[in-house]
Amino acid sequence: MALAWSPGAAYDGSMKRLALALFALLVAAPAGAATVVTATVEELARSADLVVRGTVEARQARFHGARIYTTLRIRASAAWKGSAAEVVEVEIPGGVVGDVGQKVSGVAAFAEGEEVVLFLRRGGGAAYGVMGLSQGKFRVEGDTAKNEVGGLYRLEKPIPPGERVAEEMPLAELERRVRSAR
Amino acid sequence: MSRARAVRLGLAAALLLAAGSARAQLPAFTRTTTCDPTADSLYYQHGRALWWPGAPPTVTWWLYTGSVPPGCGDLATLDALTTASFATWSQRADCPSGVTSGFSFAHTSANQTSDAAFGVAGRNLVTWRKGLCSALQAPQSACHSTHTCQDTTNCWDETGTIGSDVLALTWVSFSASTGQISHADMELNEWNGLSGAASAGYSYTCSGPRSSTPPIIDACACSASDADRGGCGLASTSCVWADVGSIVTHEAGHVLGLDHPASGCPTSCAETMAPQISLGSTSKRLLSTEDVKGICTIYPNNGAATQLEHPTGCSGGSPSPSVRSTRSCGCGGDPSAALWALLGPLAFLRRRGGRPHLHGASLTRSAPKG
Repeated sequence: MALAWSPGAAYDGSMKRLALALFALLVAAPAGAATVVTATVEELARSADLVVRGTVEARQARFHGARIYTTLRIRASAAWKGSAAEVVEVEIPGGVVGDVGQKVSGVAAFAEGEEVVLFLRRGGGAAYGVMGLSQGKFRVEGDTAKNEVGGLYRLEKPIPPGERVAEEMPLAELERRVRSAR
Repeated sequence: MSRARAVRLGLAAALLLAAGSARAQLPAFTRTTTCDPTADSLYYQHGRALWWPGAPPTVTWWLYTGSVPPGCGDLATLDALTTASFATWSQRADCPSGVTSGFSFAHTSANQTSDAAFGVAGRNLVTWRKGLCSALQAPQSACHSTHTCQDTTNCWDETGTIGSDVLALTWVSFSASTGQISHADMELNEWNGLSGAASAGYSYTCSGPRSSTPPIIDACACSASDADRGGCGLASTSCVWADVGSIVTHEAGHVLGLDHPASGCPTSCAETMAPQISLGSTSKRLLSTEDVKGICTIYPNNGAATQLEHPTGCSGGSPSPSVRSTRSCGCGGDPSAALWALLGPLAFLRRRGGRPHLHGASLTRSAPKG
């Protein structure tokens, strides 16, 4: 026992119950939140034309008709699915052209120089698109892959056994899940 | 469990709780800003907040009537629920200030296919896109690369960036220098009427009650494979799947200038502007207290919108600490209060044990702020 204050049995029992209650509540909350994510890594990987790891080199926004799209240049370091050119062009909805901005909630943010893993689908033109908006983008931070799905309006659905939702996880696990997805 | 382990668990829980409470102090409603969300991950804390002009503003939205989800039965039902969803945000009489909010939505309709074109000036479109553009337009059509296929066929432009797995999109156009909104289009990805592998889109439904006791669950029966394609309760008007009322109410919040709550889930899960909803739920048809604070803060009375410029401009940098304290926000509710009710006795036990350094301010005082 490492408690430095009154070591009475009543306190000990209270502490145990309180600690367990708090721990259960704190663990339960994020788990509940995670169930709303609709896409698993495996689902994204199966549907993707290309899963690439690389670095954001440059970005440019322009109009397509009345819509603004931003084109990103990704310098690829590895292709986990498909075959990637040295530089991959990715188009995302929204952006700013001159004084005109367009916002689409749920689109992932990209910073120049950022290392990412992207689940991509071939678009109508030369550029790829990120699958599931921000669900298909992971930011590489050391040995961890992080994605930000908080901006997405998602519908709950069951998660297939053995699969994992597209959420923060070790980079090695993300790669393993992508490469083993069938 | 040993006492030492109990202590470690308690301390770990307290640390997690402190971190959670910091998140809980983020605004429970969040205004969309001028910063480019594709470049600035903290765009909602930078730049200028978006606003509609007018004193007070009245924004007219156009319903494209050429596409009616089978789950709504007929146009009149769809029109009524869509209208009610927008009206939920109009002239709220329950603002905390006691003054009715000034913002109003008005609506009209159009039924020509060309009326479903994206980005027509003066026409804030609401349309249920039906069928994938890749299936309805020839592969060699130039409209795929220019993202204009939907303008002639009201299809869902899933090629590339916007996948078939996206339920709904609202595009808000604005001045990057002033934040003034000029236009907004709402596109909803309706079930294409096909089954099996050819099925695409989501089965929108109009049934279900408006209730102040969320969540309301009356989900359509379906198999897991159907659920993958959003096709449950196909064409049924007696169950709830992708609820028109909840989703349009949420998207209408984007139209008027609200973003998803920065505080995130689980703090803000129940809000209409939270980015989650359960299939079969109609719970987002009614606004939460924080949603109401949002509309009332942006459009507080019969005058113009409240202007808000964050101290930090658009960039990828971290916000200064003053940003959170100076932004206009709804920081009232603290859903972690129930957890703090449990932590209170924990801190009390520590005090009685004569270890004052264990109940520092970060454990006992920071969370209840509201």
